[in-house]
Amino acid sequence: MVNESVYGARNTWITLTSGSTIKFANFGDNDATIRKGFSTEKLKPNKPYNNSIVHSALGNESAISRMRTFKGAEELSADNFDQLQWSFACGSTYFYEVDSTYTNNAENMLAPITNNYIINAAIYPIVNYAYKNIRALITVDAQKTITGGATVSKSLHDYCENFSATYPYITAVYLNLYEKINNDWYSFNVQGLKGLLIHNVTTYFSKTRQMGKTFESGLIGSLVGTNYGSNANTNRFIILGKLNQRLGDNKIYKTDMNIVTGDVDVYDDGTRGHFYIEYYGGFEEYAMHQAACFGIQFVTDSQFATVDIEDPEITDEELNAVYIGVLDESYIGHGDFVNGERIFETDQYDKDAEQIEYDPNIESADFGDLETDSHNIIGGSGGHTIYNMTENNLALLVKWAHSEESGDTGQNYFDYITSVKYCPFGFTKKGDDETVKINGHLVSVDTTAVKGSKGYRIDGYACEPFTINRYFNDFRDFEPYTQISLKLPFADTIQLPTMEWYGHNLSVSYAVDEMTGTGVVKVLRDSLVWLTVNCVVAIDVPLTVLNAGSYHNALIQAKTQRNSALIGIGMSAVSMGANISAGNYVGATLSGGGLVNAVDSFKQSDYNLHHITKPVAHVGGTGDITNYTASWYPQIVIERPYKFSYESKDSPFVLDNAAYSETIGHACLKCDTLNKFTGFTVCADVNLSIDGFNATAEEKATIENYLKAGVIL
Amino acid sequence: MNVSLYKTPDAAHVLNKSTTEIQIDIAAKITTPFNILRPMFTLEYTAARAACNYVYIPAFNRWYFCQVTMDSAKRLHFACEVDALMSWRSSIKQCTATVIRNGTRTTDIIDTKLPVPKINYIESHYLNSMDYPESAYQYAVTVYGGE
Repeated sequence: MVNESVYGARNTWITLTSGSTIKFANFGDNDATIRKGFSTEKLKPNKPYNNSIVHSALGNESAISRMRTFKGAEELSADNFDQLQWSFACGSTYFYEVDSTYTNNAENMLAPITNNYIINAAIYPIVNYAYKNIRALITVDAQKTITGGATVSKSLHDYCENFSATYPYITAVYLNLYEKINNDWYSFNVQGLKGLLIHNVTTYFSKTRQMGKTFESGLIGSLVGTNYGSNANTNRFIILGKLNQRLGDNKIYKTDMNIVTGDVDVYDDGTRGHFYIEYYGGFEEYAMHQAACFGIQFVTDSQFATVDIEDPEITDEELNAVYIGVLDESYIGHGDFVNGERIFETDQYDKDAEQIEYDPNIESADFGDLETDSHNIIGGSGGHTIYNMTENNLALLVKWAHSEESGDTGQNYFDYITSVKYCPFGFTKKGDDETVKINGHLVSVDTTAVKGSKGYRIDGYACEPFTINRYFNDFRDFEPYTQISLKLPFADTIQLPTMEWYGHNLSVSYAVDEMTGTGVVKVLRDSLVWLTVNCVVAIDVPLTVLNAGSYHNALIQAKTQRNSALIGIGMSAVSMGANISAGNYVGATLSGGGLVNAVDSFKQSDYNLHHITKPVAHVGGTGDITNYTASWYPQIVIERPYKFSYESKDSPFVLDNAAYSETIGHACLKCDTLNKFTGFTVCADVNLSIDGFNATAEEKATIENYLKAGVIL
Repeated sequence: MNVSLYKTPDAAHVLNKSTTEIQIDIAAKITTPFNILRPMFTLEYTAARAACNYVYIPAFNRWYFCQVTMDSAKRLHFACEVDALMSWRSSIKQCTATVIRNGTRTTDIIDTKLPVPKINYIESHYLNSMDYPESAYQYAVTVYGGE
């Protein structure tokens, strides 16, 4: 959720104060206004443009906060007035790919990223805070003279190397976005964007994305857009994405702007302006720092725009051409960026599970953060591959592994199946079906599955927050009178200390490792991780002959023990009856003890029978199929003292009413002069030695006795 | 010495008692020797005086509870007992104290005098918006050499 304490109230971000003035409010010490007078300011490189809208949105050192204004020759007309808008507010003159079914003024108009992205967005260390499947190429538009002339549009690196001398006046620096879909990188056509400095990073999610969901991890952006839908000239909106938010936790907010489309006098002299930067020596690095503020992958050279860093054949040159902006724990970029190195000499690398070394700087920026994010994690699988299958697919696979055909290869393919997990609600499908391959051998029946993109993943199942409120508004709201517990599916029941939870939002999320079936439940108090609990969501399935045999052996053994225990009960009962009839109470007691033991034995055996686990290892104590028979939803249970039956509606706590106040009083612990109190009052200690209080000792003793017994002040 | 006769409906532990005037500044002779905390005096009978239960003696600057008895000569004998709370109420209000019970309910401190049933009732809420990825792909099979 956008932190409005930082960004300001969203409904006041932009207002139209008069016919020609747009006001940006709540973004700094002073409101910023596009107004007369700005035109005379000369650009000051490397100094933030305070009070711009994105200045606050992305931090003091954010990319767009460094926007400059200056007076240019090209006039702004009604048609290109948006230039003014996005130059300040980081917007676009062209519409985004939004779903036409969206209505104007609806929240979350931009098409966000789908669950499909969650899976594919496993984050390499090199892109630890970035959205792995989004990359930006920094592009520069420049022209020969201030007033125009010939123009070029080049990648940042190309421009600085080859064109900066001829085209020194930079009119736009922007991010061309590339998106990775099913292991291929695609460029999005950024049509007609012209802006000063870096802008427009959030606009290009295609129509096919899931609508109505909120922003997914990895991207931070700020934008004012125009021209969508039917009211192209009147609707503007801002979005502020936030990095690494889980689905459901974040919102993209927009607000509408109504901006006059007539002539706009921007400058003192009545002319209208244009924005640019003049090329200077450190510009390339400067632009990279700007891009780094967004915390995404970026490149400066177009030839590396679609380099796949997961490709084991990637060259050092290609790898080093990909950068990632580092964000701090508040997800604010300060312009730092890093790139990564591979570790070539590891088994994981040989097994094509390419690894990239952790950059300690990024790691330190990641850990210690108590935000709610569940980072998508990917790791080497040591030559293993996960396939997600339907039950039918699995049956076909097993049938094939038993078949004569597979036997002819001379291999026991069960040896290469290292784990089979079952999850009743299913794993998220990650891609297209493909034929299963075991130990390099394609299963030659129509057994298809979805291959996990990497060894394992962590995913989260979030739920909406629940607010725990007080009930009695007195001591009964706390332990031991009131107790709050939280039953976590596939995990445990935990106690929530009342003192820590009243007035707070409770939510939970699950991060599940698909390879082991285990995971962690995060219990969130507001936005902080309050507790983590181990869980077992997917359970093992005894697939191999060996395992299945062990399972049935255990069943038979347990049944045998159970029957033996039943015989033991009968014998103990006979023995006990004989002893009692003989008046031997000591013996009866002893025999009774034997009965207890026998029953215990039976129960233990019966318990064993019903709790035979498959002959596979379980992590934690809850990895059992019986878990699925319980609720799949977390449950909050609040136990409070019962109301008395004679309590009425008007006086729900009869012992807590006026009569109680006047005759017994409520518990209190305050030290003060007695004139601060009224009504029935009982004192523990009093000081009757004050000036002018000249009562006799007997009177003071009487007074003290009254005060300790209770007086009405 | 003058005395003033009143009636009060309030209990003894009320600090600032409400009074109803019967007759004020009546000349009365205090029985001697007297104790300032328990003075006695005698007045001629009237029905109103006989209903008196509260006395103020300006000379002593004190309020008294009183018991009235009548003798055979129809004289009323007033046996007084000082009301230290009323007499010193202004000073008492200025005294500091640790208050452990009070009529105003402002605290979360455990009230051991408030009966609380040991039987609890249970309130239950499901967080029913869990976003499970429901699919037919219910099995995750990890194999070696898959790719």
